[in-house]
Amino acid sequence: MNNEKFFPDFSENSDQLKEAQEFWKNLIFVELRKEHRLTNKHLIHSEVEWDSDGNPIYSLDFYFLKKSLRIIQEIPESEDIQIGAWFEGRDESRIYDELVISLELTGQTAKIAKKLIEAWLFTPVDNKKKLTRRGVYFKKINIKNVISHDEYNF
Amino acid sequence: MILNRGRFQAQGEKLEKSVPWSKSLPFYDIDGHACMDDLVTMLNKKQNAIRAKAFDDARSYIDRCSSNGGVRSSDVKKSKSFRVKSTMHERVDIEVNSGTAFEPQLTLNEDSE
Repeated sequence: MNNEKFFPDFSENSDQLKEAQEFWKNLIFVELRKEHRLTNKHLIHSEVEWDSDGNPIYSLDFYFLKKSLRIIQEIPESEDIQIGAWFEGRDESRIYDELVISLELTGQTAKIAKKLIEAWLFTPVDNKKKLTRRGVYFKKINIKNVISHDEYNF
Repeated sequence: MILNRGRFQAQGEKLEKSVPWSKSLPFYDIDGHACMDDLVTMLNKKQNAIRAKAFDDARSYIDRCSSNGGVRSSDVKKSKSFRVKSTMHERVDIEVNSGTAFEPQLTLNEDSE
C-alpha cells in the first residue's frame, strides 16, 4: 500500500500548500470530470475556500449539483492510515448538504477520498427522498459502503 | 447592531453536543475558552479523553485568531473541524456564523497607571 505522505510540509511551505490544492483541483476537475464525462455546467462552483493550516485545504459549493465538499488536510503525525469523513446537513452556514473529508494525504487515503467524492457528487439521488427526509439521502451514500471493509478497518 | 454569533460542537457516532453563543458585545478569546470548558463538562470521561487533542487544537485555533485580532464570520464560512485521529468522524467543531469572534481581551497596562 502506498502510505507515502503527500505534501507533508504544506502548513509551513506555501509551495507545498499550492501543490496540495492543485492535487484536489486536478482530482475533481480533470480526473473525475473525464471519467464521468461531465461538462462545465455540471461542475459550476463557488470560489474555493482554504486556510493555510489546511483546515480546510479545499472547500467549495457545486451550484448545479447542489452539494458541497470540504477537504481538511491534517498535519502528518502518524504512520497509520488517517482518514475520516462525515456529512453536514444544510443550515444557516451551509447552502447545501456537505461531505467533509479529513485526512493525512497519502496515495492510499487519496484513493479512498476519490471514491467518497465520486459517490457524493456523482451518484444520482431520488429528489423526492432527498426533499422528504435528508437521512434517507445520506444513507444512500453510506461511507462504510463506499469504501471496502479493508480500507474502513483502520 | 452586529450580533456576534456561533457555536462549539462535539460530534461523533453517538454524540452531538453543542454550546451556542450570541453576543452584541465583543466575543473575546476568553469567552471562547469558557464555552469550550462548558462543552467539556457536557461530555463523559471517555468522550473527553478521546477528544483531548482535538480540544487542544480547537483552543490553539482560538488563540491564533486572538493573536490576529479576532476572526470574522466571512473568514470561517462553514466550520473549523478537528477530527480525532484514527476515528471516522469523532470531532470538535467551531462555527462563527455572524459577526466576529475571539478578539483579544484587552488588559490595563500597569505601567500606564
